[in-house]
Amino acid sequence: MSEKKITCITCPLGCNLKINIENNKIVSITGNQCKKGIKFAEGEIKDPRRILTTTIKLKAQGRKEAAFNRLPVRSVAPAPKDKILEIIKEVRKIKVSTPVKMGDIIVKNIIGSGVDIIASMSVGN
Amino acid sequence: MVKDRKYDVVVIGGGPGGMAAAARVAELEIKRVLLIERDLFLGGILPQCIHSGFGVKIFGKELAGPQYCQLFIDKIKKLNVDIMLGTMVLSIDEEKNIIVSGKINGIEKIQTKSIILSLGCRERTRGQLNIPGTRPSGIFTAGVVQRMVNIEGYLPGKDIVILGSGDIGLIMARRLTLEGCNVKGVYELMPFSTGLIRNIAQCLEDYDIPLFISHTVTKIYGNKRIEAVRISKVDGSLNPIRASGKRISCDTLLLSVGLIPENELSKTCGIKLDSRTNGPIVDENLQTSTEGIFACGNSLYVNDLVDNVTEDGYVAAESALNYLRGWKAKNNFIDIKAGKGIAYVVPQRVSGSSDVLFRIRPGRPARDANIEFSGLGYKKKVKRVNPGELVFIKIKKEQFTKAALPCKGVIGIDIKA
Repeated sequence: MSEKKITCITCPLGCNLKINIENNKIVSITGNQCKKGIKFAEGEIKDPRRILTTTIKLKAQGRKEAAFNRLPVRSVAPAPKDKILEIIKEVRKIKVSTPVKMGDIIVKNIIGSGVDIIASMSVGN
Repeated sequence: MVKDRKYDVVVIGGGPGGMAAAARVAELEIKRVLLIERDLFLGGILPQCIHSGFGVKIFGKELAGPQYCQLFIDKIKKLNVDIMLGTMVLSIDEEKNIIVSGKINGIEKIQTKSIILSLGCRERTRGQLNIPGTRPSGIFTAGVVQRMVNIEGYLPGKDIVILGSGDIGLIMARRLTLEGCNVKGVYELMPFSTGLIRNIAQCLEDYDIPLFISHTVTKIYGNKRIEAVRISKVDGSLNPIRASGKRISCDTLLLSVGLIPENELSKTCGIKLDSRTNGPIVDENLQTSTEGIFACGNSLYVNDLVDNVTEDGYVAAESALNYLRGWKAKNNFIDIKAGKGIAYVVPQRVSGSSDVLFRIRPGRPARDANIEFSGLGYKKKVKRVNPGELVFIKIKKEQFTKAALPCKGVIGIDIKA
């Protein structure tokens, strides 16, 4: 049996979780203060994921929009942790022009990860 | 263009606190509301905080900073709120006349019945740390770099050393790593990190960025551009241990060493400040020492979560509306004294005639501690306290009336381990 200690990152409380693992299966999870902790711990063992946020090049059409050279973007849902750097590299190639609306899909199913990249903010109009 | 220069409520600062306050006033009543912002866009720090984790309390879901900001911008644009962008407030006088300077309209005078201050905070800089050495370029505060990278689209350098483990420093460690920089380490003077625990996990541990507690920068090398820093361990009294010093080469030094509430404007109208928070002294309604002027956001005290800033904005808005209805604050306040284990408490004084939400900043980490209110006979057990997390305790008004005599105008709060 092995014990794994992780920090739950679901909310600012940051519970210290202890996961007991036997034959690649979770035996027990302790240290959590809510159900989200259990879900997070299970995810960390089976398929660790993170929300991904970065920025892409933004071409402003109007003078007022020119305050922003970059558009903040994010993954709609958490993306596989080991694919984060690869996704960031791919997202970096993209350029958009204003107007952009919050929630606009920038890339669908990026590098086949099943995760969409969307605009975090509206710029222009 | 804003034509009518007479308002019921003027909110100064278009960040999360100011947007929440202006929106809440307009939502609740038909009033003439003006929101004044210095920058060319609303949102304050939020548009550059591109990471996620905002909004769990207010929206019930996890949002990126710009999303949180956009939801408020969209809301405020539908409400009856006048907005002045690119406008700086120069001063406020005793009659609450506000002098502003803007690029479009020049210098103007605005009259109002009440004011909500949501002025934000500033980062501590190298000058406040007195780091010895040369004065090359390449030394930035973490928030400045955050703006450079996320809004303006520049990287500050390639080999990065971060001093201070505040949340912005941790978040920038991850951000710069993702942008291809080499973050050599985060160095923290205190024996504990001042950032949220989850940020240490997801920003440092996920990317194998080392965190060195009880370490600080003791010298800066380089002529035109920074070339290296000297890192030293510190002893129990935070004094550098000379023999432990080692040179670490870098082309950029980021400082994430604390935030100071911005109150230059509050001083112009004689508002009394608390030397512990560096923000105005307020009561439970967030009214400052000047009647009709309220405070919220990071200029009141430095918050950990934007959701709390929004909530304080709502409180300030509702109090401003009460003030317009003719409600007056009592004169004989009960003073709140921040005692053992506590860095500060907001509010600093209470009327004793309404419920109070105490925001308590622990001075150091502790486990299984008691938060004791002397004079109130109230005690609360907490599993863990951490300077990076405010403790919120709500006290019902009955508790004050019951304890009116023994507390003699002062309530002390201590954290006892």
